[in-house]
Amino acid sequence: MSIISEFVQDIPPGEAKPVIRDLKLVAAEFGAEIKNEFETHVLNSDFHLVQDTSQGLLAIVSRYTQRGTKFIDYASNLKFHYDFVDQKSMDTEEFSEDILPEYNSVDKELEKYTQEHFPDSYKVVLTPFEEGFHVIIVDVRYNDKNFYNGKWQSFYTFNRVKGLISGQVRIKIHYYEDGNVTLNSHKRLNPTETTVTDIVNHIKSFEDDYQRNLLSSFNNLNEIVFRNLRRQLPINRSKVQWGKSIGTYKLGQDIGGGRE
Amino acid sequence: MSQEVYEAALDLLRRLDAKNISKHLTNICKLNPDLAEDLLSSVDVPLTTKQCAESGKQYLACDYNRDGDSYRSPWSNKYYPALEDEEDAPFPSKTLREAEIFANSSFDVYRDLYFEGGISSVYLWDIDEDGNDVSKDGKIGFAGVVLIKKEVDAGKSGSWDSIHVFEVQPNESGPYATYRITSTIILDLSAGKSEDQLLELSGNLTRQTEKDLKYQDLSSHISNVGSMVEDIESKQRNMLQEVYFGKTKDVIGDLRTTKGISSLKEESEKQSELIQGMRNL
Repeated sequence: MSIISEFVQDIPPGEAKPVIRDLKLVAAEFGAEIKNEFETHVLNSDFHLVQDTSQGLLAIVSRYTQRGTKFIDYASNLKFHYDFVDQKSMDTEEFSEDILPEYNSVDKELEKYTQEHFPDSYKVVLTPFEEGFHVIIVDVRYNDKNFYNGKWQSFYTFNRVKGLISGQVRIKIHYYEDGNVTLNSHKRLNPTETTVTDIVNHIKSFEDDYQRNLLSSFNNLNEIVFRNLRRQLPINRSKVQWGKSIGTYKLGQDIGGGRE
Repeated sequence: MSQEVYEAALDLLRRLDAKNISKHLTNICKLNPDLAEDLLSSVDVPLTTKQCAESGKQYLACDYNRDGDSYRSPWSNKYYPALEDEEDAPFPSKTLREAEIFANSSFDVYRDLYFEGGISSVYLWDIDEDGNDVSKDGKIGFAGVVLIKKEVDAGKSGSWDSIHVFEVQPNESGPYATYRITSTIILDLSAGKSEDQLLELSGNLTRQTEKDLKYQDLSSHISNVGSMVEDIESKQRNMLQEVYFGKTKDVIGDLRTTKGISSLKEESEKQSELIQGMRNL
């Protein structure tokens, strides 16, 4: 992996603009590589949610929605160019493509499901390929004013011929007031049997389970790991008596060694 | 190196995933070697552990006890690996070294009481502009750093690194001194990592504290810094808890709700009807 791509992989959600500006200053001679690595990263793994207010268009930029140099949106029947750095759509025009007969019913169910569970800025797309569908959900919560940004991204592939669904859910949250804290989480859905009519149910129960497990792992980290790092109060429950007589405390071990 | 490029490098390190901060820092220095010296002395990365051959104890390494590739042990006052020419290496003056020994044994007690394990190291250095060494009466200022590291499960499930850089400026006239402390805590938590799933919470929080406190002599400066660090770490621990577990959990809930939105709306409507009903009683 190149140094530039190592940087690009770790861009927090919603902060591509400042990070790329910084990178271009720090690694001035790598301008072209920065641009290429970033585009590859967005197309293949970190899909962007783009809003074109003039057209009321909310769309997803990924290699699955790419047609030539443009990106398509089935819901609005529009296609557009995308400026990766400014994160803006341009040259929007009409578009149409023949789709599979099952498309509409699955699409409707997906829309219903996402409306019920993704309260913020989100978009779901179903993109057909020869043997089935890809489902992408991107949901973002950007709040630079309060120094945090978050992103949920689901990606599934349903193979109609084999009757299998597989995919992955990812969450990344960045908090950066007086510091730099990242939550990074993902869970993979290994190939599982399902049918066209059951895809959305499958996605819903996988995502529900993931979110519930995430919250319980969170509690474990807090109550077991975090608590074992530093106590809120000392073992003897009173503050340290600093001063010359501090040497009268009995240490639980030889000074300077580890307890483990 | 321009100021703009340096600021950009710092901004990068404040934004990119802090779990990989050491790697990103090295990479930036590779791409832009002019930045290396300033960045290495101002960016906090997880502390590394060294072994003091003379005392057999472990100690912590950072930019403040480094000379070339060697690090000074707070237990023996020796550099490891041994330097060819120790005379040119930085050492605290004689009286300050006595205070350093006292500081290390004091913070060892603190570490044991709060962390029940881990390693601590304190390093002090002279800062007097006229080149005066510190004196036992505590009237001459100095600076230092307090380092603590604790790992759970050999660092696989969690690690805590404290870095408190401080400066003591005694007032010439009165019995007070000004203490300025910049504290960074690097906290790295992980609930297992596999091909199939991952949950990592990692990063750092920094805060600055300044206080005027009474002092009697040199060793009372160490006690004052000690109780300030104790206080700061307790507050920072609460802040870490709030950010790592409170904030991020809220954002997850903002991104997706396990309960359906229509049933949540229904619940809140019922709730407000109930409140309205009680008001009308």
